Amino acid sequence: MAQMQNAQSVALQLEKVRDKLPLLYERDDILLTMIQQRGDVERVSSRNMRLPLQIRPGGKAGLANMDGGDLGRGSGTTYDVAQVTPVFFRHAVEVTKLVEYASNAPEKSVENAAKREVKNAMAQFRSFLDKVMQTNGNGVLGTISSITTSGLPAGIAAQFTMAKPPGAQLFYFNQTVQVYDPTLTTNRGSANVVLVDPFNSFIQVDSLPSGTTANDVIVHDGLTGAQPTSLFGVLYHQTNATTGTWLNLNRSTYPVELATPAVNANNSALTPAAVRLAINKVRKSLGSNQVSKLIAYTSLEQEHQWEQLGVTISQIIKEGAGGRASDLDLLFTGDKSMAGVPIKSSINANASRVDFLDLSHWGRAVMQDIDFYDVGGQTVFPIYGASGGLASAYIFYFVTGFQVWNDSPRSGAYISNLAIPTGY
Amino acid sequence: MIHRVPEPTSAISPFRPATSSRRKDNQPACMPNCLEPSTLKPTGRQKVLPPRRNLFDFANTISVIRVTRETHEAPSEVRQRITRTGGLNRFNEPHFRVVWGGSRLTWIGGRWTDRDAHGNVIRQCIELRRVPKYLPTNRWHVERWIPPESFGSPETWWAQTLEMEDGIRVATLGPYPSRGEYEHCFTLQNTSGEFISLSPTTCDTVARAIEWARHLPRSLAREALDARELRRARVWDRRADDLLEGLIPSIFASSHGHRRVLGGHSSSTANTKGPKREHGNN
Repeated sequence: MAQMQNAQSVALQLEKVRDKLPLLYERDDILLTMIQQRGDVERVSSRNMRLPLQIRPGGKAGLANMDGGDLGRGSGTTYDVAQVTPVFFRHAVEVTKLVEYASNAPEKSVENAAKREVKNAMAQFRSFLDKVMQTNGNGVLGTISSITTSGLPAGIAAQFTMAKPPGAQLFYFNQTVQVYDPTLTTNRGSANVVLVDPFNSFIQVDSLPSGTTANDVIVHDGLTGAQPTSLFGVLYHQTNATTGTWLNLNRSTYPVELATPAVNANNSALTPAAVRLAINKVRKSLGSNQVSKLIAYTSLEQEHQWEQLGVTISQIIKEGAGGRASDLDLLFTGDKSMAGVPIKSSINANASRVDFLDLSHWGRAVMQDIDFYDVGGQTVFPIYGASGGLASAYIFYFVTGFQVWNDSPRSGAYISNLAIPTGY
Repeated sequence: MIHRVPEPTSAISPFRPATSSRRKDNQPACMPNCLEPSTLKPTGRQKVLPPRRNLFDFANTISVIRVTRETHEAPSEVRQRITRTGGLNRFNEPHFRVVWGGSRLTWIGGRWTDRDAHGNVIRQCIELRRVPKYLPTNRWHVERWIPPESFGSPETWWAQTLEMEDGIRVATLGPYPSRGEYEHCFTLQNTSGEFISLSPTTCDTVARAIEWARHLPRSLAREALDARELRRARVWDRRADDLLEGLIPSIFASSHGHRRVLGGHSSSTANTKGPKREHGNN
């Protein structure tokens, strides 16, 4: 090869960024990061990761007649195996040469476009994964409650009003999404999100897949076939459902053992009683020591509602003096609590739930850590024009392959169907 | 003042038989009609034999009563100070109070699963127990009074808290709080979870902080949460900048301060902070 190709050169340069990616991925309010920090990370191959579970106790105890009585037969512990298979996610970033030329000197641009692009892409990918982590394992980001096709600006084919929760909270601008029928059997087609309004709970898309109706669901890009499988999120592991499957186990086989204790708020506001009901369920089944391991994972909406009850130190106090209460740092820089359980809130969390999670039972089966997609050391790839020649643009990908598991669904609890405070 | 009382939780005492809702004589200390430690003593109708001493069982030779829960009362100075700060409620009781975790008990009803030290299930029973409300039990907790209407009507309360277990209706949170209830506000411990001793100033400040924030508009509270999210984003942004600082631009061949000609020479002086990696090394 007579001449060094540009793609070969940039592959070398990108190496220096690679080991920074996992660090860029971390943020303490991201549920996946919390699982990574506090739970297990298991390296796995393409074969299923097996989680042996001691599901039911064995042995038969009872009164005995020692005067020649029949002592009866015995039984043994019931074990079963949960199985996890990683799924892969990618985040594609494409930039043109013009971006480079326009920002390759201090006099042209105030910020290093390369650094900014890596940082932005990483933040967006992390945000996407955290959003998927809020779902119930099928990649459903929202449900269409109504469709508007008239009176929209040019280039917008339809406006979907999304049912709350989660409303439009789990979408982002320019995301490619797919529309499925409510039973997740028929893939109606894909579209690009051109506007997201989480406050008014709608998204606008550039095309309307044929047959799309109200109650259809929207899933993220890349899913195929009927009943697609995505990341097993909070709604997947924290449920009291007795049908369906959980990590390849049939829920109906172990309807009690695989069900997470739940409190139905019936669309009423969050109260201390509901919180105590949920926490007490953990205490009763697993003992008081277990409660000390819980975190209350919830949305900003419910955190706000909890503050309004006047039983916790408000964020206003904690935001004082530049985020630190000057005279009582020791006390107020700690976590806020919900009946003594530390609150971890997230903008992506379901607005109508509070999930009490014991993250020591959560883990990740990782086949591929987050990294650039790599082919023989090359991580940036040229774009080709219609003629077959190079286009003046590059593309690179972030990829990761993992799945989230939980080896004890009964170790948590949740409050569902909470009223969402007004103003959200 | 320190009191030491038998543990009312689900720990199994050598004398405590498996519970039965029909046999009051055998009910453990945590049952509703056995709230006082004295009820652990056998009644006249019941004959309790001393434990059979095993020569190798040293634990049984030492004590027959396990004292595992300390109870404390807040000093009057603290009580007066926090009452002055928070004021009195409609029942002429303080809005705020300080309680020791081991002293503050509450009703919890339902199906209890008792486990041994290894987590193995010993037994299950359906009953109402009076147990420490807050954990950890060895900390001081600041509570605030919540009016009864905050818990809804009695009908709502029962609808929400009554549960059926094996055909038995159990009040999972005990009776309706007709005089309101004190709820957890703050645990006196540092950010590492270590014990902080009780002081009037600390309690006073906690009560003042909560009261002050309660009287602010809801919108300000919401803005504070948004400000925290922005701060988190900025912190991450700065960290990301630090991490990527000094790296040769990853995608582009040249950038600020680093002239680079593709396929030619480079005058890059960057990447002094970043680790050196071999080409193609993952």
